[in-house]
Amino acid sequence: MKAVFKSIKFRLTLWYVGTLALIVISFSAALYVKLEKSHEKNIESSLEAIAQGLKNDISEAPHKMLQDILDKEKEREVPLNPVYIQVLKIGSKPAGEVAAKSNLLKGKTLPLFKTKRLAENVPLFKTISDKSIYPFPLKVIGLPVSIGTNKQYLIEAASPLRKEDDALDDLVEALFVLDPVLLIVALLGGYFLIQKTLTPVRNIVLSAKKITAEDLSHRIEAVDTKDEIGELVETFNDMISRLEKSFIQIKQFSSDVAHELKTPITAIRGMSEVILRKERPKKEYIDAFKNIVEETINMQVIIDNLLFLSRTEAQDVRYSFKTIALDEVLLEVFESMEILAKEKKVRLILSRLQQVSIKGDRNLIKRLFSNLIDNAVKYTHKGGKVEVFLERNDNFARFSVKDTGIGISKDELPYIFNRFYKADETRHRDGGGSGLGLSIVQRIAQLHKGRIDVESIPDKGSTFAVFLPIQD
Amino acid sequence: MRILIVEDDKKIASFIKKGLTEEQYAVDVCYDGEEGLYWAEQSDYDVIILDIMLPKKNGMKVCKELRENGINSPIIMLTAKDAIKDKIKGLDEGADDYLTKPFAFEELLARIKALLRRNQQYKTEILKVADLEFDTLNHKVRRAGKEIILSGKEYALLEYLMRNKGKSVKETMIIEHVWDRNFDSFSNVVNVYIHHLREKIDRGFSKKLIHTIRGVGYFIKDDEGSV
Repeated sequence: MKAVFKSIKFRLTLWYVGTLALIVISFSAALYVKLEKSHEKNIESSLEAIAQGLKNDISEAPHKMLQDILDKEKEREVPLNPVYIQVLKIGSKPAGEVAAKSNLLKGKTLPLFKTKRLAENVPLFKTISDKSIYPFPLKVIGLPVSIGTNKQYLIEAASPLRKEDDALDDLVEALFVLDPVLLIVALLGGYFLIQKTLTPVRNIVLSAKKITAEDLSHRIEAVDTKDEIGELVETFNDMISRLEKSFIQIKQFSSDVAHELKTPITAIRGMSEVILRKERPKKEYIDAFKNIVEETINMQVIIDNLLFLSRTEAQDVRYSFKTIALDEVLLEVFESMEILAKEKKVRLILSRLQQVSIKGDRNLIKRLFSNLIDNAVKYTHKGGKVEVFLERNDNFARFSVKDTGIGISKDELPYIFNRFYKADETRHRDGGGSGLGLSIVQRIAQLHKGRIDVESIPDKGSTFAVFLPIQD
Repeated sequence: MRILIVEDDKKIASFIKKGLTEEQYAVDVCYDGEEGLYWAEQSDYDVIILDIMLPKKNGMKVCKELRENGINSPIIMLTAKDAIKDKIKGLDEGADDYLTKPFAFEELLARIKALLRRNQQYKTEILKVADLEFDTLNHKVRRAGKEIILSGKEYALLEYLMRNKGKSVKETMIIEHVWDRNFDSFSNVVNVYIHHLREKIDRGFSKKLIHTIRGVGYFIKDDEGSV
């Protein structure tokens, strides 16, 4: 039940109906007040017409019997409402003596206006309530009549503001019935309208529930419309695609890690088990231990590289960059690489060495240089050539390694910086590569706000170029 | 019994070869899929140990092509992938067994023996011909209860003959199943080993078990009848 009250459908309906109710009730009230006002105006003008008529009659024939005039006046009465009229003497003492009154006022008197406030030709109005005359409030007009210069008489005429079976009562009754009906219709209509609007949302929820981390292949059914809902579905599906992609990458990565680590473990375990099956000469034990140490180092390298990548990815290592002379670092790395190249019978040439310094981490830069040169030597055939360049541009130091090796095909170029990617599975552990070298080079370049480019033609060779910004 | 190992990791290939050779198997090693496919089609291996992640041609493809080309040698797939669907795929491609790395060497041995047993009528690890007993688990050979000490190759030769009990085996078959591919086929080494075996097994017994069919080959049988 709680969920129902929390649902958008419920809340929207409530807001909508609430607002509508407020509007309808205000409208009804305004209508009522307006009608009442205009009704009162009508009564006032009717009363004024009667009083003025009487006044004229009295002024024209001041000596005629007042009661006669009054009786004649009856014909002018408003047909629907009763009109009570009385004429009071105010010119002589005692003031307020009744000179004449209409039959309807038999035995009763309308309250007296304060004579001081009365001016010739200006009628005064007031509302009185006298249940003995009429059960509802009465509107009273007071109009003085002067004969000569003295105010002689006061004409008072009254008519009820309301009566039984009044038109206003009918209106109120009608509003009391109509308003709720209107609101109920609006409620139902609104509810269904919102329901219709929210159905696609409900469908999205249902299909989104099917999508889990295990199965990201589902997509939310596309809606034809290009409206907000359609946009929402599109956005959702985009997000799921990205999620799926990264899940696949994570899976691939962990299976790669597992594979890379399981291989040396298999070798260590298998070698040990075979050696332990029987007594052996000392030399065999020594060889086995040497192999085990080698495999352990292999694993250590893989783990170190992985840790380096994940730490720098999470950015929880802060390097304190110092000014380093790239040419000196390169020379140092180059010398150590010459031995490896000689062993492989690959010509390693330092073709250009310009003096250039950057802000960076010496060990990282050494690793970058040695990884790239090592790779180039590794993938170049016997008798091939590897050239190394270090140049200074305006804002960048450009370090590049050009080999005459096996090259990389166009299809594979986009992936070579991926972790554990090996362009050809042949380049396995014999080369000593774990498939992390280029990822690390790229990461080091990024840490120095630099970048790496690669150009390659299969069977002709590759050129890797690293650009590192010179910071002054 | 002759086994082919197709595994690109030299250290893994080397310990498997060492361990199996010490178990008197004749072992050949290939380091990539194409080479593996070539050798598996060249000789009649009793078991092929095939890694999945191989250079040039992966193990799944090698397995599939071997089966398509009518090579029915039992295949044990070897891989670091341990997802069920990888195992199913391997078995679907025609592999007989599946072992994930890292594995216990004894388990590999046991699985090889199980596969070798599959093509025989009897399902124990003790092969018998008349009063000759051959215990493949403990590498013991007895005749009439008396233990006979055999050299590695004599042992392998006898195992092959006994696994093919009653069938005549040609000299070329013996060479294929008992020796690895480094064997010099111009030598008369099979003849020499058959002679050694006869000296150790049949000498002093009236019932001869190892027989020769001239120009055809050899067989082991518990009665004097012809093949």
